[in-house]
Amino acid sequence: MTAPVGRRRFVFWVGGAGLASLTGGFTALLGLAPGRSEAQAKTPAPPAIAPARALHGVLIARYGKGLDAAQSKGLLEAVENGVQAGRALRAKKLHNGQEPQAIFHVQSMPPRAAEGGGR
Amino acid sequence: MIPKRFYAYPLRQLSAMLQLGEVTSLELTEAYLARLETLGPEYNAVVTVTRDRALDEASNADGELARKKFRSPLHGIPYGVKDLLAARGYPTTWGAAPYKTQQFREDSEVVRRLKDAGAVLVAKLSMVELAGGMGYDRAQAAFNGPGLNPWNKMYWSGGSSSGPGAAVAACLVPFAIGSETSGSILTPSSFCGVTGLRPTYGLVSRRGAMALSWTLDKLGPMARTADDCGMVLAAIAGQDAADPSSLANGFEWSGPPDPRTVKRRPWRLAVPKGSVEKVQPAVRANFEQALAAFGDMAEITRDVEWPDLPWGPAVGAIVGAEGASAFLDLIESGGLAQLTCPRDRHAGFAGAAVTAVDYLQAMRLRGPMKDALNQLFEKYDAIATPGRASVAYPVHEEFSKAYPDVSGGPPVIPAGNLCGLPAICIGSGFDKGGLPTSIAFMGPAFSEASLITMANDVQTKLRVHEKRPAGIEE
Repeated sequence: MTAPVGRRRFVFWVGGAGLASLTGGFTALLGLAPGRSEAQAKTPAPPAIAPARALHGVLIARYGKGLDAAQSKGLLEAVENGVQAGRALRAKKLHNGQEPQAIFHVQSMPPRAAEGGGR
Repeated sequence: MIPKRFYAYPLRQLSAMLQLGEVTSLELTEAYLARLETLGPEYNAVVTVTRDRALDEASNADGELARKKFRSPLHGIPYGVKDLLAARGYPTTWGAAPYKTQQFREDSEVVRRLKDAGAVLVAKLSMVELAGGMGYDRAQAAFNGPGLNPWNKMYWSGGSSSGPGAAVAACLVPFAIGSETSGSILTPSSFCGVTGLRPTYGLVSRRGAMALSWTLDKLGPMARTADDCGMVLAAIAGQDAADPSSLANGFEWSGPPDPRTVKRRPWRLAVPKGSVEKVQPAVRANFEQALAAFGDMAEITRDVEWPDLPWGPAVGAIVGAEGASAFLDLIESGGLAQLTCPRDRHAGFAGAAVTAVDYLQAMRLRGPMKDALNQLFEKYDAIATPGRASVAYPVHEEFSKAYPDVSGGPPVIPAGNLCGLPAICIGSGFDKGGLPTSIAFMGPAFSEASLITMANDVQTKLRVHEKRPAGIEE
């Protein structure tokens, strides 16, 4: 039920970082190619890339068996989008009492089942 | 005897013909079935033609009409549903190869309500696989091929309600039911030049509909006119104990108020800052033309500041997390590999990496988001924007490469979906190549009657909805 721009490309809407810069981080992670140069390696990775790599690692461990290198790279880009989104979400300050807009409802026992018993 | 151009008639006209006995439901149904079977494949608009059920329902409708039993204004009128709505006796494929043979024992609530209203189900219509929830990036994202646009088959019909958009535009059905999580009714309505109504969250039960995002999914009508959408919404709205999100409000619609007898103040419309600056020139020109059509029936405020909140990231986190949970079986079984769109086969895993805190942060932000939009609606009746920034994308192009210089401005579609607000999209004209452009109006919760009336004001002036794509005439 999502339109094309509504799903994974949200980073562009908020003017976040482009995706092009992520490729080097990915190749370094998987060791598939000489991804980052020595000079680059000495420079700390942009903050969003490190958590994206970690989350990508979890996904690869769980589901990565059937993914080829190109798909794994594409997945890292998608995860990076999610990390960027999370950062934008956490940048907005909320106070303690602001609850999520999904409320758990208790379920009453049906009258018959609630009857009887010694308590 | 069926009139020659019956397929272009609005619902109220079809209804009157049925009531007067000028045509039978069976005649109408046979005629639409013939169009679905001959023209449907040209647009990849149809997954399953429900011929046997349709003929059965049409016979029943005629029997009741003969006994002067008239269930609703939709009595005897054929329709189609996006193939994420269950219909007993037929596959419900969710547009995806892994579910090609899936069947459910019961009708979805919307199909049940339409049956109760006397309408006749003639087709299960195409859609983007899993309603686009796995991150598709091109039109080739359905097991039965990309939705093709009736105005030009080299272009996409939009998503994820591709089939409803194309089928209504090509007059294969008088109306259809689509679904929207974030743009999936408005986008195909815009690309195909039909009228699409996204109802307030909770107004229509989703029992028996594929779940992608429980807190965002909505079902709504796609049809020729705003009035048609009102008639359909009146039939499908209402509370359902089986869908805890559904509300008791219901919806009544007897047609747009007659301006000769009902005096009303001009609509107060807000055009957010940045809405038109980077859209395609034809989109902008036609948007302005549509606003001008209101004349003195609207007071338009330009350059309204859009609330600075992370709308896109919130939709992304919520659809990602809820979608990954809803399709966990598919993800864990390796079933994503069977999807059609190459990107869906890997990007679909990403939702499983949205952290619980990010998801909850997005859900908490929905409170301040609703407050921010409600503040706007204290001053304005509706937000007016182009429905989409561009005309339909070329069918063989990745979306990001289609119109790289075009941008739609403030994220009104994700904002409206996050806040559960209604919106309506209608045709505003065409570009030089003959592809439709649109205007959309979004209002506060439960403002459907105002939005439909507003859209009807423009439609009756512009008459864009009366134009038909070439090649659909019999």
